[in-house]
Amino acid sequence: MGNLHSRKYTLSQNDFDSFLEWLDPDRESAGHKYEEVRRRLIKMFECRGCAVPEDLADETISRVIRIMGEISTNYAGDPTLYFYGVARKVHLEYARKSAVSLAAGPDMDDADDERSGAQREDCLNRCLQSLSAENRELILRYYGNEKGISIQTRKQLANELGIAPNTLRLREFRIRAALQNCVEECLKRYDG
Amino acid sequence: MEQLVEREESIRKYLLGELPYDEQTEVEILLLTDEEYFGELRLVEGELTDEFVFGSLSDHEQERIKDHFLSIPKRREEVKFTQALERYVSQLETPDPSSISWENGLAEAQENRYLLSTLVEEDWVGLHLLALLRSSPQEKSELVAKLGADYSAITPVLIRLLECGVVERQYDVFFATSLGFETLLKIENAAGISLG
Repeated sequence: MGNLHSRKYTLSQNDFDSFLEWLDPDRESAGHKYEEVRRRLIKMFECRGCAVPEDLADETISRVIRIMGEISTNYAGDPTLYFYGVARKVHLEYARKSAVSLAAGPDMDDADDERSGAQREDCLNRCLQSLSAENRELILRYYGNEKGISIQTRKQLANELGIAPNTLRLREFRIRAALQNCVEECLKRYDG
Repeated sequence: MEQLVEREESIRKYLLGELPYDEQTEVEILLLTDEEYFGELRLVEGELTDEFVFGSLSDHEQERIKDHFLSIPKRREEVKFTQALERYVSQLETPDPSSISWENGLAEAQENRYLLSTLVEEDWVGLHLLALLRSSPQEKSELVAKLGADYSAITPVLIRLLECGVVERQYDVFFATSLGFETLLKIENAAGISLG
């Protein structure tokens, strides 16, 4: 990623202030919008298969800030769409520079030795205990189906809980995300 | 409803890197501008990970997952997490009681007796140790300090807990195993207490 930052540019407070003003005249809302744009750019770069999505999102935002003076006088549309245009350019440069390394493909076994497998299981155990009994039951049943998570499984579970299948889907997603965060934090404690 | 299915299908193709360029642009603009769409994409992303782990994708999709979807370290971590969860849940499945032989039953009873005595002897040191290790992995020196006991009192109990399989050790750190968690939970439920 270092190559994309070849031209050193230090952002001034003034640049950053005009950038926030462009996003939203209200400073607090501008801060939220900034976070939101960054989050979504990261996801977009992830979906494009980039190994360093955070760096690319930051590079995109930084480039937009650099030409803030120009944008604020010449561009009147939705700021998000402007980010999109810049992000595509950043991605193009990234793809050219990392073509060789991307060709190598992912390695599923990297650094997942026996030790970290046992630690992950231990952390999972702890984190499952920290869930409410209802949420724990839900996640265990959701992943306990031998045939995997089918539409039928979801319908049956949703019926039992008296909720719509899509609500169940969302609930499962949230519990799983919380559980995964907990496991990641727990694994960090092992490393620390 | 049909629209929703189509939308999910296009998100799925996008995540597998299979959308034509113009459709990819449409998806990405929605991803950046529409909160609901962003949430939907994350749901489909999680479900693709689950289906990959459960092997319920088509051969073609399975290949696309390996070639495209898993090129990001974060997603590979998610796969590892899901695999661990799937493994954990499958281990929880209780065996059919009729498949347990009389000899197995006797061996189990003896193991339980040994575990029970390990937990209760020496003024319940074993139980206190297991409860401490459930809250977080710890070194022996921390356990000694917390229990206000000396090394010679704690070491034999720790060894017995290791033999019973309720505690494991990695380097200098001890931690409670799944069996340790289950054991404490059973004791708490039966006694109606919380061991902290």
